[in-house]
Amino acid sequence: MLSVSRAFTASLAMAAVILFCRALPFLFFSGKKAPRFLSFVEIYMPALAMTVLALSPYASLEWSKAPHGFPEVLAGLLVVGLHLWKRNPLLSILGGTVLYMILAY
Amino acid sequence: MTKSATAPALPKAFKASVPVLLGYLTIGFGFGLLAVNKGYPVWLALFMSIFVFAGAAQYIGISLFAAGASLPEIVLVTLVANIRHAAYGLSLIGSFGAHPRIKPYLIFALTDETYALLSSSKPEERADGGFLLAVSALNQLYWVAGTALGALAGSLIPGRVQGLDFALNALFIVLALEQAMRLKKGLPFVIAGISIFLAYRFMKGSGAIALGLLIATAGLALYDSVRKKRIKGDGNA
Repeated sequence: MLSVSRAFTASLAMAAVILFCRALPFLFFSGKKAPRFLSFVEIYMPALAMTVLALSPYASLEWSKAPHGFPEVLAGLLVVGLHLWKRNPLLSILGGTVLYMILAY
Repeated sequence: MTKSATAPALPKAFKASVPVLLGYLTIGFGFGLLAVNKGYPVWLALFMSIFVFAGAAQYIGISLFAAGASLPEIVLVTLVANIRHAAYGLSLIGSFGAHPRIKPYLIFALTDETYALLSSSKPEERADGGFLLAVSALNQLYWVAGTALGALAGSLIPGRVQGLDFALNALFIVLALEQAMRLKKGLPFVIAGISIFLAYRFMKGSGAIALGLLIATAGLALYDSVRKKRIKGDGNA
């Protein structure tokens, strides 16, 4: 575990990196037309990033060890089901998290 | 910016931001609770929500702090997790450029949710600096308030709440589904899914996420250019 002071330094670095990411298009493309590759990124990057992040815990699961990923898979399916049904992010996130907490602990 | 310009914008912005109010209070609460549960002080959680202000990245950050990750590792993961934000600004260069005085804050506060609200707002709202500022600042207020409540609850309630980290995963699942409903295409999601499982064969942890995203982007870009060439070729033939 990082000490509080090192975590604070790391937080400052994170703030700088995130500001850089958000400022990038304004630094380089203000007034000019963005190149074609960036419009490709604009359309698909959120989908790719969210899918990679959402599936990352599943890709790193140890399936052979008990409980064989059951809590993660069932809670994940509940999130998908709730969201397709009600499309209420709050409900989907709370529902999945509560189920996971019950199943895993 | 004058007061008269902001006054009518605030109620409109509040109404538009209600879904984010609910989401940010909950996820912000979860973040505050997680930070304190992992052994970090309330002020650090608040500091992050004020100056880092990026939902998923803050959750990942706290997990990395708790795992004792190195600074370069933290910087790389943050970059990978947030480079998508660079894509968001592209469609807002015009709207933000019209308000140079508040532009720095608007850029700083451009989270996924703020981007979602601003990019789906009416053109006349997007032209109103007061509206842009009010939506961005309200969203951050909800986020910081949620963090404060969660961190305080975490420091008052003894013992650790386990399994709360899943809220982050649930958030990503929800955002991926929202993207699927927006794009109405399956292929990017299949490519991204294969990529992340592939990436974990070569790397672990944060490195795998970076590699997975890289493979997915390259894969989709390749498919896109091959498809375009084929369409062009058919046209010429």
